[in-house]
Amino acid sequence: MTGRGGTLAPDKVREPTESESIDTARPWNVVVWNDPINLMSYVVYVFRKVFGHSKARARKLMLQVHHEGRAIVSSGPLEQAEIDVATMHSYGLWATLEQP
Amino acid sequence: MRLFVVIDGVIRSRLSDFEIAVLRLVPRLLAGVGDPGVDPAADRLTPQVHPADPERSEEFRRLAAEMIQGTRDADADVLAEGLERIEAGEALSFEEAASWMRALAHARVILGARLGIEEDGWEGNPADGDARIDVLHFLGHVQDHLVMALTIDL
Repeated sequence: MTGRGGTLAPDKVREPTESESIDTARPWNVVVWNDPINLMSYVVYVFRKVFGHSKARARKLMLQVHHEGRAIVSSGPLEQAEIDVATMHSYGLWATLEQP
Repeated sequence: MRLFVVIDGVIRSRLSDFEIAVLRLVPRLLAGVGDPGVDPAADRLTPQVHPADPERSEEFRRLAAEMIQGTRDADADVLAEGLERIEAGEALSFEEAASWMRALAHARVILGARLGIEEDGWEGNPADGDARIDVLHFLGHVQDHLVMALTIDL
């Protein structure tokens, strides 16, 4: 992730296993992944704007994405999670869904 | 020097004529995203959201891609029109500046994907003579200044 300087780049990406399946009853997580292009300042802005996080909370999430390669940015029913993941895509962030 | 200054609830630009000329290239870049599997930019902008279920991912992509492209097209139009307006000495609203910021984010992701940039560290190693890397840096610089201006409104 680029903070002017830093970018969001994948360190280790966990490959999904075949046994992971779709269950609409359990909550879904929206995962944002590290990428090498998006600016750190921009990612913090998006988390604050979209999810209403405080500056400190948004920055902590952004740093988690940067250092750990990914972070869960929201959780909920599939419909809401799909809206959130599409919103992340509309900002150019790399986001996917998963069930814990 | 800040490229965008908030004065009386609007955003005034200090972009030079040259910078405006470069930004004019962005809407064309945003309009040229191809299909997933063919254009790496499309694979990056609308990734598989269910990594374990390609079929479900494809269904989501079909539904979401239209919305995402709609936002991208609208942002590109706002950028193109805004560049005309700031040349005429007018200011941008926060909403317009947010469109610019998203447009630049998409433009950079498109360029980065097509350049095959997959890891951090590319910023410190500018490719010799590759103007696309320079453009990536420049767009990031403008985007960062838009973020600074827009953060005031959060």
